[in-house]
Amino acid sequence: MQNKKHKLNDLSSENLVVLIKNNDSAVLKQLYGSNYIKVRRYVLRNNGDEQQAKDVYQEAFLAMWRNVKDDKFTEDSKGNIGGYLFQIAKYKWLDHLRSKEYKNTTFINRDIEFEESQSDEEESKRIKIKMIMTAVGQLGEKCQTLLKLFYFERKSYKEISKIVGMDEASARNAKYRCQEELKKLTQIIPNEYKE
Amino acid sequence: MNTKNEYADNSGMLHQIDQYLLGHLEGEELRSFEERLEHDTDFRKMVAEQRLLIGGIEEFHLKKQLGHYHSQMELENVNKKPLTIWLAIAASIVILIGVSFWAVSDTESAAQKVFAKNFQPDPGLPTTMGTTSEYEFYSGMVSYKRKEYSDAIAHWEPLYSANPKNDTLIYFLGVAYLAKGDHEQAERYLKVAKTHEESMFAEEAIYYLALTQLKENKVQEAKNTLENSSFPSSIGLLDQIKSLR
Repeated sequence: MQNKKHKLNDLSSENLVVLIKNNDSAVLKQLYGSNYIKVRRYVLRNNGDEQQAKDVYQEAFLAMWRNVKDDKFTEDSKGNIGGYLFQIAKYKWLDHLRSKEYKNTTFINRDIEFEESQSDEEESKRIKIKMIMTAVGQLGEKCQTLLKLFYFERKSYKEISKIVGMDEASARNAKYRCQEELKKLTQIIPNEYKE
Repeated sequence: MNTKNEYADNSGMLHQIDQYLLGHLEGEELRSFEERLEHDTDFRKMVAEQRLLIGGIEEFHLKKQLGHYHSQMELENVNKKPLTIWLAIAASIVILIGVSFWAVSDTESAAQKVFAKNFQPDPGLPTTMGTTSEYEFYSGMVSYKRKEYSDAIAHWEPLYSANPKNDTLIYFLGVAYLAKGDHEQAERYLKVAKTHEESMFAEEAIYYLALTQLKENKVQEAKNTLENSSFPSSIGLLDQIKSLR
């Protein structure tokens, strides 16, 4: 843990964007904790309950994160990141209320996108990512951990080898094999997302 | 072995693609990578696929992480205590102290006896890998549970200097020092831990701080430490030392 914990308020928005892109856990956690109350109040005041507030917030949070990754968030157009997150949650909730069968839908598998409707290309990208996510869930725990350490937590092989108790070369080799397994799994998943 | 050959052929390029996508390529390496990206269609496809794969892995884990953030957030909100309980306890403690003033006994050994009778290290936290990013902390916890306290401290002290406000870390450093027999250091950490009133370990910190002070024969300080606690163990401990001086 050589990276120190960042405080949200001390960060410029460029730094914040970089830290979000790198999945800095302290920053993501603070961002999560500091914006929920507003979203919760909005949902509860608009025919929603606690569970729905949580679901819509988590969806919005993921959408915010994806947009930051894809450079779709620029500070001048959208205000600060907390406001941006709230806006996404709000649109998602309104969209949910507008949908005809909203009484029967759960939020778990719905994916309403913020703002512009998606191009075909983006749509197929989302489908692929969802398939990959399903496949990650089917990996063994060890593979999940290795891939998480490398890609999500952005640890070096040196750090990873210490954590999982392997030497660096074996950790690298194991991660490679896990990744190949993931690719195979992705290809054989019965494609429930395709229409 | 087949997999090894495959690995040797592929891993170099894959590694470079990873480095590029994680933003680690610089200078000449980056330049030539981008040039290839521009001209080599197959290569471009490979990079695009790897980008998706990484994106999927990241989103899977972030989604899981959000569940943890949420429950932690809820936990932190629950931990705030109503003031009336504090006031009631404080009042009863004042009476206890008044009574204890009259009691006289052989404090030197008695205080340490109370310590020996009561001290048991905190059982520690579950060390499930994969649910938290703080592996260094949890590998210290593994040592701690094996009663290798110096080892645990060696893991935790560097973390402490990087995160001086982490209440969990401060608390366990205190308990580890106490278990190891270094009361001065234990007292130092536990005093800091006690100031984190919002911490889920705040009450335990008070309890162990009082035990530390008993071990050092500071009976009155231990009483003062326990004074306002509503924690059952602390009330019990105060009960045991009220006749000491």
